[in-house]
Amino acid sequence: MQNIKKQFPIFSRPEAGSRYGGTNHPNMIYLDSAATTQTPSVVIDAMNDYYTKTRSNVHRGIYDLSEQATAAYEAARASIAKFLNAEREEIIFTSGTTHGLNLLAYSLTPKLSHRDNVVLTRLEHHANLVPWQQMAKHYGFTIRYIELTPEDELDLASAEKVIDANTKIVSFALVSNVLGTVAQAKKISEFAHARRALTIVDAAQAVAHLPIDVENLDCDFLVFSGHKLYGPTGIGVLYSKKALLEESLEPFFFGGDMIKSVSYTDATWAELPERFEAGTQNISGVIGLGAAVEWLASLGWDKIVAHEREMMAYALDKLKNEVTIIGPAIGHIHRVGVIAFTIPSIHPHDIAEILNQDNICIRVGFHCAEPLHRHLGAGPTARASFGVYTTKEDIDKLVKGIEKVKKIFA
Amino acid sequence: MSGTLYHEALLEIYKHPLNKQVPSDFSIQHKEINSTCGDEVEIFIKLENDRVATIGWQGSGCAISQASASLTTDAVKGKTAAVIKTLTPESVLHLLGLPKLNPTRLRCALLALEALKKAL
Repeated sequence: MQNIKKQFPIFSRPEAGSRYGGTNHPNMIYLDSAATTQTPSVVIDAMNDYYTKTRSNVHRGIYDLSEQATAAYEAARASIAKFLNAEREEIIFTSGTTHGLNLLAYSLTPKLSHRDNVVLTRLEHHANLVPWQQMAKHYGFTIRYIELTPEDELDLASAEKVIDANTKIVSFALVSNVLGTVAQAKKISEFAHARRALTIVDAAQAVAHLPIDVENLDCDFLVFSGHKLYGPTGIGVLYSKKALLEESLEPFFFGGDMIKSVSYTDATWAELPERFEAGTQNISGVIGLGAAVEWLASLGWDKIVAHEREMMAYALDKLKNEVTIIGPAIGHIHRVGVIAFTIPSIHPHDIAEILNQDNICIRVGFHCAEPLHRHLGAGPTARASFGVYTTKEDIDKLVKGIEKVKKIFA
Repeated sequence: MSGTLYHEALLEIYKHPLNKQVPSDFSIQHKEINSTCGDEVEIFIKLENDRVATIGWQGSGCAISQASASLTTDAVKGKTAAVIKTLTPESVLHLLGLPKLNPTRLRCALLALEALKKAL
């Protein structure tokens, strides 16, 4: 991952006279990749190519330009399918993880009743909690939670207990956006399938850090956002097993491009996956995301995982005497992507503000996981999160910044 | 800007807050939460002849929001509800000795004022 920052224009030297204001940030210490990652040139170029060379609507025009745009769009779908070890018909484009989870919550719950339950976990992001809560109000099912172990991992014994014959859906984060812990997804899927429940994996925080193989995970659905794996904002993926798309899931949005034939009284649906993509899609977003997964795969997962493990171990070691780390800080637990922390009697907001003076970007607050913070007995926390471009120098500067914070508040 | 954000007087008032207690006698109570960062300020007031006779607050949050709660509650002692409602964001910033804040931090600074206005 040496010199990888060079591939990211935001870290380059400022160009004179940008028309839109703003500037590049060669000295920025960007430690908020769990919120959104930066974008490499290859992704920007791919989108730019669409806008400057093939801009037209997809699946519609007979003319060459539209054929080229459609080819680029479908090539991106194929890349993403390969990236997940899925088939192309199983890849549905959404606006992001939140869209995917809402679509699933709306689509899968109308048949549920007060006898049924949906199983989530204690560490879910609001996007994998609030949609289910709202649907529970409509349909009367209960929500159960898989508990955490003392080391803040998902407790498999608890999973086995809460998933029962009345469980219809089990939906969980593959990686926690606060604790960084990794779910034993395969085991949880096993429990769920033994009870004939469907499994949904929220891979938003995992997809940039771990290779994802939907066949190996044996999940029924998996969702993620493009902007968390170096792709554009406003694009995401809903993976679904083909059989479920064919038999269990009805189209969620209706309109153009998702139909086969329409009369004044009814309509029939297009083939997979178009039937789940009504209206003109985020074409440049899809193309950008395709470029992002190709680029990420080209770096090599072994190298990505090794680099990020090294950065994580280095950061935990440097930070453990400076701050109170939320979640596991011990070597044998695989922690991915994020370190949430607090400093006694200094509010996280103040930590972030002072770090900002030195061009260090971290996130503070509940990270859209307020119930988890309450569950852990924590208030808001500060969170540093890493990407492929994170260096030891970045972490050293964070540690220096934290020393400064403590000095100001001493 | 942020060089002067954590000036000494502000940090001092953050570490040694004013009026940070629940008064034994109060008739008005209101809590405001800043959902972006989890700051909380709850205000307790007893009015006499429409003037603030007793005021106290409880809360947790960043230095800006908490110092502001101290200084804002102190500034409105003896004032009428009508006068308090005319207090401006600028006047709170002046109390805090802060020139200008970005929109996120401004919400922290004005949390106590918001709680006060909603309480009355």
